[in-house]
Amino acid sequence: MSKYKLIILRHGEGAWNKENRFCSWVDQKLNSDGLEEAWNCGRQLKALNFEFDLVFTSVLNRSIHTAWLILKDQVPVESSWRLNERHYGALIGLNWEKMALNHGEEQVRVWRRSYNMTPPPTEESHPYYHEIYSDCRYKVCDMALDQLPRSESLKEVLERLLPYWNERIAPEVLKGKTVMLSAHGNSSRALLKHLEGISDEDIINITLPTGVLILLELDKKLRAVGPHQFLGDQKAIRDTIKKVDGQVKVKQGKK
Amino acid sequence: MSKYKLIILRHGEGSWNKENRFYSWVDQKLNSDGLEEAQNCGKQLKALNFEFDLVFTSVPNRFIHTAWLILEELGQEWMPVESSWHLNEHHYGASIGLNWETMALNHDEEQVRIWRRSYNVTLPPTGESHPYCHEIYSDSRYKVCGVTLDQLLRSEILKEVLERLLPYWNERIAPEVLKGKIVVISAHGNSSRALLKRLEGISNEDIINITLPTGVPILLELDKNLHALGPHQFLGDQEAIRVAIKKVEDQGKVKQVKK
Repeated sequence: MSKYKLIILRHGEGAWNKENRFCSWVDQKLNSDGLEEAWNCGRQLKALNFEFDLVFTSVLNRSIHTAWLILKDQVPVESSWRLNERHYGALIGLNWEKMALNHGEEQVRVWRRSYNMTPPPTEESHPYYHEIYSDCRYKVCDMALDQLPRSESLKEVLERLLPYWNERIAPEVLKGKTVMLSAHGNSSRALLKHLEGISDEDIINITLPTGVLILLELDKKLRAVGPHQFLGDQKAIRDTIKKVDGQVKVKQGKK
Repeated sequence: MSKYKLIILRHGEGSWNKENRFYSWVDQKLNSDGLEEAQNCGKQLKALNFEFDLVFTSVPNRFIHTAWLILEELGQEWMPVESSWHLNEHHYGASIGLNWETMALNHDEEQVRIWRRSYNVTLPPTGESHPYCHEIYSDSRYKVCGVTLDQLLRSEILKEVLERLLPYWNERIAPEVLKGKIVVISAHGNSSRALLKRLEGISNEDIINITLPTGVPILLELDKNLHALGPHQFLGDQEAIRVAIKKVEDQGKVKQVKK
């Protein structure tokens, strides 16, 4: 195994994952499946003898709780909004399946997965606007409240994530530390795109299942030495990926 | 309220608290009472509208879990938590794992009280044959703590707890308090007493009488030199707190029926 490695974990399920709703910056908790996914990850890491030196999370509690459930407690945990899930703007809270009925499955897939498309921004009248922007976690981050995103494309996720990767995470990896990122589907995809050199076209096809450990081995320039690897039962992982991919499909009975 | 304030929290109960055993550096988990105490503490701080900026804990997991549970109640899981062995409990040396009540039967209650609470009385060190020596010193947390394993303590007096805690207070915690940040320290009975002794100027004789109950937030308001403006205050139902203090004080007493 390479000297430089990173474990990325998309946090386990929250209630809105099950309801197929854009969760984004809304601070949903893990549901019972998500808790179990996290515990299973912890057991798997123990069986693989992985011990982390440092864990980075977003400021959303589902990513932090996932880390807490997995860790040996004394591993330092650092949280930053720059690892937050992609900000889905006006789509936050909406249900993908209903949107697929109204706009087509392919359109929803593009909104969810494409690199350059920015959804309409969250306005003050949005039902979750106040809940997000009045939270004190956004008063103490390294960007003024009025400059924080109101919507993002995946490209914009990478743009706000990269300074944090370069200044805080990459130096630790280069010291040979074993680092885990407990993050979200899109913030993880953005980082993998950067480290693996995945094209803007190909990134739309990358799916990351919840609660599955992702290992990325890196060279001394912190470029991936090969594609990311999912750790665990490969058949179960393929099923989980299929489940995530299937979330935007309109159920046949409803057509 | 003063601009500079500190919340100190003695962690919730673990199984050894119930068994009246010297915990010290042994890494026991919170029991169900301890979990509930931590959650109640969080609810109370939320009701008092406390918003913290930073949490410091020692390295055994009951302190970290206490901090996490409180942050969860406050909805502030994202808050920075920093852990250091400098905030660890008083290292009780060869007494680790022993039961206070049994010791009180053998040595009398006042002697046990002095061992537990005094400022200057030394306990014998943990030797390699001690049942918990390997468990403590082979843990990876002590390989990355900035002090070599052979230099780590094998026993301490309360005075020595303060001596190893103070550099950390001066370098890491005090600067944050002076910035006006509201800091929580999730620690243990004796490391908390050592710090309060220093900040409140409590004498070597009086410190023996200071008892800190588990799971009760302790507020200390400080002046610009980080000296206490008044005695520490327990936040919450004062009658329940008095009962909790008595429970801690009674832990070293021999139960009458056994005499």
